[in-house]
Amino acid sequence: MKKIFIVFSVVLTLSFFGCAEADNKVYDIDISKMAADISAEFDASVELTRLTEQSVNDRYGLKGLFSEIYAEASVAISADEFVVIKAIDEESAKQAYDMLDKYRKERADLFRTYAPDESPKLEKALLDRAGEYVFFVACEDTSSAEKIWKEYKSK
Amino acid sequence: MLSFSTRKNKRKHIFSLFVFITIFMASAGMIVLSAMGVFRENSGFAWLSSINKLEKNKPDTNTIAPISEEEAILLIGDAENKGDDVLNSGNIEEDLTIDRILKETLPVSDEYFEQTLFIGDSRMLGLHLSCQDIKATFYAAVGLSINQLNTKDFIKVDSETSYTVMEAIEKDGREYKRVYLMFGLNELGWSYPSVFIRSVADTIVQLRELCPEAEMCIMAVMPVSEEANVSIYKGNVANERIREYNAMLLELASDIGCWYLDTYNLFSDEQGSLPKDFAPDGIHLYSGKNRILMNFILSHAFAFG
Repeated sequence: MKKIFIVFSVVLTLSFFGCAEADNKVYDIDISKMAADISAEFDASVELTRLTEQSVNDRYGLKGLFSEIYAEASVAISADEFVVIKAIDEESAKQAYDMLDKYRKERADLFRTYAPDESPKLEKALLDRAGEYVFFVACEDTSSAEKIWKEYKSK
Repeated sequence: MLSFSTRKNKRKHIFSLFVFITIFMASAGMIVLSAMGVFRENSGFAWLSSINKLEKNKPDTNTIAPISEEEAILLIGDAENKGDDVLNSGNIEEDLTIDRILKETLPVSDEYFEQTLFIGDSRMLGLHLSCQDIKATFYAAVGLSINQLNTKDFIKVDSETSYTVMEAIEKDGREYKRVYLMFGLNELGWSYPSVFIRSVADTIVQLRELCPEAEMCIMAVMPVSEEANVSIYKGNVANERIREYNAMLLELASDIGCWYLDTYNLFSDEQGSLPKDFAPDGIHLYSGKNRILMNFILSHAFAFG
């Protein structure tokens, strides 16, 4: 019984260290560069417009949460869009992640009745966080964007 | 020796000749004076001239640079004081329906938008996203209908708070001078057009309470493409319904003293549809076309000063 307890304690301790190591990883992502790469990967037939800071706040409600942001969205009725955020700290990044997830769900619901063909793009949209950075992309095929995001994360 | 009747005839002829010569001389005099510019607006005879100053000064809008609001007032004139011969003057009681349609003015600068509010649906949102450099306030959302301005809380103040359009207007503290409304597309399927018109009227009443200094402008429902015309509303009558709505909106504008911006004719082709290459889905305009719409708004201004 004692042995089992010791082994369990060691495993638990190691797992804590593992988590701590993952959380402590410092990311340094060049948002503009990454956004340019993502933008280039987008379907050319979709017209995306870069959003100003004001438009970003209006759209996602992220006011006060980020130090740097790049977002592009469709002018017409299309779910295509992407956002790369450098939050002011990790707590803000978590909050921004939750806000974007809420936005994604609400928009998917809206499109389900308004533009049903667009809704799946939001349902399978990619939303991820790495330290202070948050990335959201909705489009027909997110695999290219995901690849770019992983590349920048691993640098 | 002339008889009495012959003399009478001769007098008649002389009198007729005199009248003819007098009229001829007077007419010739008027023509000469007019050519000399005596009746121009700065002369003492300006009251004789009915030439509309704005039409007279109308520029080539393709080449002229935007001017400031102050310059526009100087060039167009003080609408409130000049009265009948100045366009978009706001003289509600005397205006006929057609006078509520905003006419072309000199294009104003972006400053015009600083106290301007745009409220509308996804097409208004598209206009906003295409013209983010404009300093106006936009309260617009995908799927927004005219009857949701008190209920749909989509205007995000921060990460936890969202307001409806009416709440946002009440709380944003801006003293709007102009409010533009763009609705009608999401309301095409409503059973009775009169319900839509009543909703617009109710909205304007509420907006007037919230923005007592503002003049209101109802934007016409823009057409949809032939393809969208077939798919979005009962067979192929979306554009027909849109025209019906627009006629009623114009009548409402006249009845309650609002402006009406004819954005339908701006974008309709010979069949009364939106040209195919103006919108990816036949409904929501491309960025470039939204810029055309914004320039149209800038060159059909109202509520100066």
